[in-house]
Amino acid sequence: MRRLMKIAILVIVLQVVCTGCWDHRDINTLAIITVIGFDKITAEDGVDQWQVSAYLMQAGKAGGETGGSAGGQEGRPEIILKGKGLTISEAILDFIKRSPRIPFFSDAYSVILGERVAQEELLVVIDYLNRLREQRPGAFVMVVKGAASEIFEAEPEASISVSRELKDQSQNVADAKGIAKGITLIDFTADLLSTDRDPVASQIRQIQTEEKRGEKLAGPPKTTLVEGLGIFKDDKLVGWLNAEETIGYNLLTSKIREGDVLIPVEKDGKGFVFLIEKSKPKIKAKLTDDKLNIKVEIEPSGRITENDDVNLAPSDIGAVELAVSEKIGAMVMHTIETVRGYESDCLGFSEELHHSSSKDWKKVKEHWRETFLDANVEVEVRAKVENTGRLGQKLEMSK
Amino acid sequence: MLKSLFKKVLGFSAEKGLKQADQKSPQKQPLSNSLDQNTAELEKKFELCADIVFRKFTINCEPPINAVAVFADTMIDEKIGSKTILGAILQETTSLPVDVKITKSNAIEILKSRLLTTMSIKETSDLLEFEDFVLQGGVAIVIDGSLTALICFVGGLQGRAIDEPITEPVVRGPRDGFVEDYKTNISLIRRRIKSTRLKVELLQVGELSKTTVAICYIKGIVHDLLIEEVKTRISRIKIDVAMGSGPIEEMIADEPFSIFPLIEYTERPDKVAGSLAEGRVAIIVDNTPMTLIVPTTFVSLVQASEDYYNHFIFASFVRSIRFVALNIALLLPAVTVAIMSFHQEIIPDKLLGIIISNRKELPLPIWAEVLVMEMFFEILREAGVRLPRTIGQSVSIVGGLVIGQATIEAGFVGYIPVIVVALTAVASFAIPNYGAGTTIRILRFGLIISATLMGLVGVMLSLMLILFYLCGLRSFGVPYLSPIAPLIPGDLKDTFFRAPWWAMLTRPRFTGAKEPSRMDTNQGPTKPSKGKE
Repeated sequence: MRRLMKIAILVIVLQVVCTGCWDHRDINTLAIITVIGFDKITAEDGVDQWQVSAYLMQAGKAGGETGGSAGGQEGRPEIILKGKGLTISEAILDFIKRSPRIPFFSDAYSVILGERVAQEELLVVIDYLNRLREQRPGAFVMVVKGAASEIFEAEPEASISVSRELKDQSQNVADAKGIAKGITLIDFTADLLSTDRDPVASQIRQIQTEEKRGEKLAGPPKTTLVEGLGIFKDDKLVGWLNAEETIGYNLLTSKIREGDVLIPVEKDGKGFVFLIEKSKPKIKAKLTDDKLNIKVEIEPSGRITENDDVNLAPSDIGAVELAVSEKIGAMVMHTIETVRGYESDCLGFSEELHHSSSKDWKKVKEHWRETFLDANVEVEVRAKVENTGRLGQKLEMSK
Repeated sequence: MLKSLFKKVLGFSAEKGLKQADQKSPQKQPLSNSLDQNTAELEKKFELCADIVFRKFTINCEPPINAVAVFADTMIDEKIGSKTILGAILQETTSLPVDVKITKSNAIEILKSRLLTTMSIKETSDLLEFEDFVLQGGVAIVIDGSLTALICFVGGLQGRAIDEPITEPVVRGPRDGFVEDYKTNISLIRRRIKSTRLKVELLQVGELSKTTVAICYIKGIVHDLLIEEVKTRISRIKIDVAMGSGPIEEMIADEPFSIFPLIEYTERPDKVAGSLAEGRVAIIVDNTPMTLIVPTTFVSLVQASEDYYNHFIFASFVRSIRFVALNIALLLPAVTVAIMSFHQEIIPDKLLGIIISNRKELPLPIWAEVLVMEMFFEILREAGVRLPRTIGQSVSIVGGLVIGQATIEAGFVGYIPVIVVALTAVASFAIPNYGAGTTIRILRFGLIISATLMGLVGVMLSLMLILFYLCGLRSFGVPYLSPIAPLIPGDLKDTFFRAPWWAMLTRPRFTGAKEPSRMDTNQGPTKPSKGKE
């Protein structure tokens, strides 16, 4: 009992004395940053400056109709703030000082890097983000052609806010459409710092929509799209993969579980569309006589969604599968060639060699990039058509 | 330490003692053989007791013998009394056989064996005992020339009828509950355990109240040491008036300041019978329907008697729900406060959007809101309990709906504290034991304050402290957290889930080790073909 009392008193004293209360911050005192973008700009006087743009969650709007009490429903759920400074922190202070609230980075699910930053100051930004105590390791890293600040002019299309749209587009996009891949900060950092591979980041673009949205919601003139990948070599952005190359990249690097990846295939002058539902890459790296041999096996399986007069009878499926395999093989090879064109091993081939045989890795460690560029790459795709949709054979006109 | 401090503050000093003349414990005082002297003595004792009646009469014999009946007319059934006692003595003397002659010396014997028709008769030669019996509702007959008095118990004390237990209702299960009269209560237990091994021992507590305390146990199952301990602790109580089981509970509990109930109380006889069969001891206190059961464990606080009547799968499901509810009732407000004021990063972004739009222009920080709303709810609950039942409803309408809604509408508090308080309240009603419910209510406030000061770290610290405290508690020597700590795997059959009845083979180790087997091991549902083998 006496001991218990002592402990109880200790706890009470600790609660008062230790850091505690003064870490307390109420939710309505936070300036919640949802998207943060980094740019390097050259000011008029020729000095390089950081420009940081951010979306700030705006109270009363983000929750949709529930806020209620004050103000109309007009306006965006997020406000844009921009600041400039010689360092990132100064740039953030530049805009956050206008608000009495405390900047709060935990909800910044999207980090957008401008092209110049990605080319020149990548390490600084990645260092800053990883150093921030609140920054989510699961935030998505995206690169943009041009300045990141342009993305902040976009308006949300499908979601309530741009931040949510970016997050939704990045999450599972590799599975969903294959046209991009959500790269989290922690993965990006790991790839960036690893000795045997290069990082990629998903590419974000601003697009002009064509559709009109009616009077009240006058269609967003500009909106965002996460499509493609930015390729890095060491800490520099060196090139881009377009949507099709990105599908190849995803097939090479990720396991697709519940996919929806469209592959248009041509066979004997007629076309059909294959939809990959599952896919699993298997990479084997082997070093023979200082020559890297890469063998990639991909086993995509899926169904046919569209058919322009191709024979799909069970006896012909073998031929159809062959056509699909060839097409996917060509896509993947094209991706590999493109990547090699940028001299970047973001496909993880060298990493695979490192993993499978550290002895061999030691041999090529000094010149691994060259070894990768000279490597023999063999791609074997064994596509499997699991069904042809609800229709069996092709539709036939019998009139 | 705390106990002596408390006593000191409340006016007791060990050196000086209390400023009061020591009351001599009353001495034995024999009856004399003169009726007049006895009557005078008794009239002096019962002076100014308007409810005590002295009824003088004469027994028809040669020579006539004077006698007096002393009784409290408020505590006996006069009809039965007049028929079985006075009627018998005054009218039936003529029907005695001719050779039986009543004399002063054998009057008592003849009355007892030939005339009085009451079932329960006692004899006493001590005035003090005499006094006790009269005050318990006996009719005392003092006869001239005899040194002993006869006490006839005719009953007739008005009491409440056996009713449904209000605090522990069940859907499936017996509907009878204890009443105030301890005899009825014993009968309710005896109805369930018709065995001579069910022992009932009576003790008296209270200098003035002379409250009867019945200790029930099943001999052979229960540890003898436990009975001894119960008896010692109860007989240690020296108090003026023992009102119900509450004071007795506080006087005999293991810890003076435990916030967890170390003694369980119930008004369900089936629960008591079940506990007795597990080797526990029931303490029935006169004038209260709340019977105490010792020893008790933490787990028994979430065991409802209904669990044993429902199918074990359903009972186990409900039991686990109850554990969830216990955690919600204890932790939800604290965790809410901690997350909202320290760990905003673990709120999903979509939820965060809703929260900040709701909390934009609120005057109070979240911890103050939760604390105020919890306090408000406690007031509401207290008001609802104390008020007559008809008004209680309007309190809940005014309090819950009008004030709850209006505070939000006016923008004093946000939605979240109200939702949290409502959820907590509902969850706390799912705890079957009322005493445990109050414990949770108190701890909840402590946890909220810890969460306010240190966030989840504070919550964790407080939980560890509570766990630490719980581990140290004992109820009549049985570790409070058993069978979880110390772990007794066999006894887990009735904790987080309830094992089927055909698998409840043993009694709990701590209370039933003397006779561990409950039933034949080879039982349970079998298919007919297999059963014939």
